[in-house]
Amino acid sequence: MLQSVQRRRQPPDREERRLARRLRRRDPDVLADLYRQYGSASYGVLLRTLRDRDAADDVQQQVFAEVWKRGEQYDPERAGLLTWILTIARSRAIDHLRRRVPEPVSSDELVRLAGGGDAPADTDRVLDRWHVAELLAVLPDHERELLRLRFYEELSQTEIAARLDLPLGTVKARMVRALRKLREHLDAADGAGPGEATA
Amino acid sequence: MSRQDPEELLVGDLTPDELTAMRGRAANDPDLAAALSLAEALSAADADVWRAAETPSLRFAPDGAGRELPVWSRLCIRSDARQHSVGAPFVTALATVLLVVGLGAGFLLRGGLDGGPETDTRLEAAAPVSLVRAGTAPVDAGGVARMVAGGDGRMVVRVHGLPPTGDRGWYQVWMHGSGRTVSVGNFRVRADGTGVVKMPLRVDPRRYPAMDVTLQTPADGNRHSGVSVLRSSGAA
Repeated sequence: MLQSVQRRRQPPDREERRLARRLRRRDPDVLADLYRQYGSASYGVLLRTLRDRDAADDVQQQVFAEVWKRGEQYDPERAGLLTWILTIARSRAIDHLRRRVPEPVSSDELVRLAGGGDAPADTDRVLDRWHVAELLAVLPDHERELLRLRFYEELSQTEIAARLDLPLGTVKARMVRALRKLREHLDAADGAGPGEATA
Repeated sequence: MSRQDPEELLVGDLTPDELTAMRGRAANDPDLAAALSLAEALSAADADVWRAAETPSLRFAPDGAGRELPVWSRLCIRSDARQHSVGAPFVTALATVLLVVGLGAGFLLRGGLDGGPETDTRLEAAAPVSLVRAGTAPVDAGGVARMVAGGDGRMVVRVHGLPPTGDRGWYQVWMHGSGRTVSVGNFRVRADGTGVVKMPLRVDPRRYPAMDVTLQTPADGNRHSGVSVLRSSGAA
């Protein structure tokens, strides 16, 4: 309970307040901006939950359609935009899993997806391929591509610099920054507990 | 291997020996162990994982999204939103324009400032008729009138040195000729005793060569009050 109190949500920044205001006022262009800001986080959650790229893509569209549909009901006092959108994403993911006939999901898994139950051990989370995909989804395209060249194609930094026509120092700095982002994302995910507000 | 940052180590081109040494050190370095674990997970990711990590584009778009806004709307819109929320610079500009328009309208309704009638070049070029102190008017009271006869006949009268009347009364301009007296118009003066009034002239000044200005009160009605404060210099 103490942890719950300590993990109170940070007040929304200026950009988030603007997005929320536009959403409530039914600005039709806000959805594209929301997607740029939160689309990768939502998709990452769906990817890891559904473990199917096509399914995650379909549900992702449903999630943002619902964000638009329910925009007027969004209450910034109750939850940040990211929390609200991820809550919708988890709900739609659970709906999708329940409907998916050939691959039944255990009730324990549904409980875990809904935010209850114990989280898997850190090592398991890191090694899970869909968790890796979720992690990579949070990176901008250019940073993810650098890591792909390094860890999938196993190119050296020099080879990457030559292929992308970038200075060697830039390649190294961007890869380090990308890895640090992934570590921070992992740390944040490990620290996220039941104290987060929900919509 | 003097570098300390785990991420810098991982993106470097390590030899197999260096990698083995790093794994050995990771046993006593949780930070390095976490970074190494992440790197190994990335190395184990197959093509599907890398492809799956690419966030798909949003195919759903609300009605009206991406619609080009009209120019006037873009001027009043904030850059962060398509809402018609007028920005502070625009409010300032609009307020300035309204102020100028308001001042201009006031200027016109008042008949212009002292220099205003100069725009009526014909009237201002007309021969001046001096108005001199009369009766109990202050010693420095005086004025000048100019007239243009004809179908669009008009007159401008400028006075000074007259005491303000407040709501108790007003000043009235009269013209006299052939035993007849006609009212031409009325006015009040500013706190400094000056006043300018431009009025239509519906009589022939040649038939009404004399002029005076009276102090009128409501009790006088439309009649000459007999209290002259200014008169044309040629008038008796």
